[in-house]
Amino acid sequence: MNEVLRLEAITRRYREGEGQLEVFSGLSLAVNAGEIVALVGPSGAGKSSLLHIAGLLEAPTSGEIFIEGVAVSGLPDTERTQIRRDKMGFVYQAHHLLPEFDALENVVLPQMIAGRTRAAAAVEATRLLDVLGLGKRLTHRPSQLSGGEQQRVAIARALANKPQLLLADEPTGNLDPRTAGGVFDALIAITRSQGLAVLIATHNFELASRMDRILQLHEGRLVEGMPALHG
Amino acid sequence: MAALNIVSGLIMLVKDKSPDIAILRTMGATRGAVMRIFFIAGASIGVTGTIIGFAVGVLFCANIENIRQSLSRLTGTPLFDPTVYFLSRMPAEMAPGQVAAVVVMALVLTFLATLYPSWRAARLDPVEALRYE
Repeated sequence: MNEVLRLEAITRRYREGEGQLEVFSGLSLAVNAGEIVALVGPSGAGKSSLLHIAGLLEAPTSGEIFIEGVAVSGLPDTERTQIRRDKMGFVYQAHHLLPEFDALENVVLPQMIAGRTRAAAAVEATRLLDVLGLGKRLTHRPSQLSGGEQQRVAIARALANKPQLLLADEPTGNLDPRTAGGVFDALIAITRSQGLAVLIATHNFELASRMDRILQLHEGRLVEGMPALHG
Repeated sequence: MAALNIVSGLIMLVKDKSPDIAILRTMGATRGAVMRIFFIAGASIGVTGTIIGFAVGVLFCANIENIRQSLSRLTGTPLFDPTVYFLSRMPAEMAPGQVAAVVVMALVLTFLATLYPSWRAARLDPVEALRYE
């Protein structure tokens, strides 16, 4: 299997007053193409920080990040930005759609940033939104969409540039259990069909149990499997 | 004053749009692209304001006597009373060179005013912007 993401001996410390807070130390993980990995752990364990580091938005204190086998943590900002644009998609707990744009335009935007023409981007955006069941909501602005629909548009936006890696931080955390299940099913179906490597931080153990692998972030260490409390 | 208004207005806009800027950065927008967005926004305000200011200023100067007479009729009070000011009509002379200099200065100042807010937008840390959302 092709290894898309590998974190090797990642340590992250934050300045806290005069001291330093170590969130995790010597942490390693790998996610292969076509693999969906759940990242679970209590609030404040560092799940979001780990996703930001994997997404090249935050630099680790030490350690190395490999994207498709290439070490990238030492690259300048412009090159890390290009990797994010071409190889990664992000979904957050809040949809973070641009309120002035409709659903279609929100999915067109990242493609235009990547240099695609508006017409070509619109074709791909329409296809993605259609696959995610939003074919009749293309011209609706985020405020006119339900929470589940907003998150589906956010998923379409994350996949618009055909990334190899999808990073999702509590993508269903703001949704009720039924809607969350629907959005999660849509996310899994579309990422499986495209063979993406997916790393999803979640508190939802039921959803985590439906992924290929579960990594638990606990006291700065990663361990495979569900927390003992949940079996 | 107009330049300061652009600076403060754009700084507030950058603050208000921080999550959107962060999302653009996660999508792969470069710092340069973010800076261009806010520079174009500020420059558009500056150019529009300068064009409106130029048009209103020229019209005001070209019609200053008519405006004085209209205001005098409207208020019932002679403005710049000729018996006091010894002026048969309001003098206003437009020097094209001075007008051009003012227009150029206004444009340069507004462009300069957009630089700092645009730079701040470009330097915004997406992680920090998203953390508090």
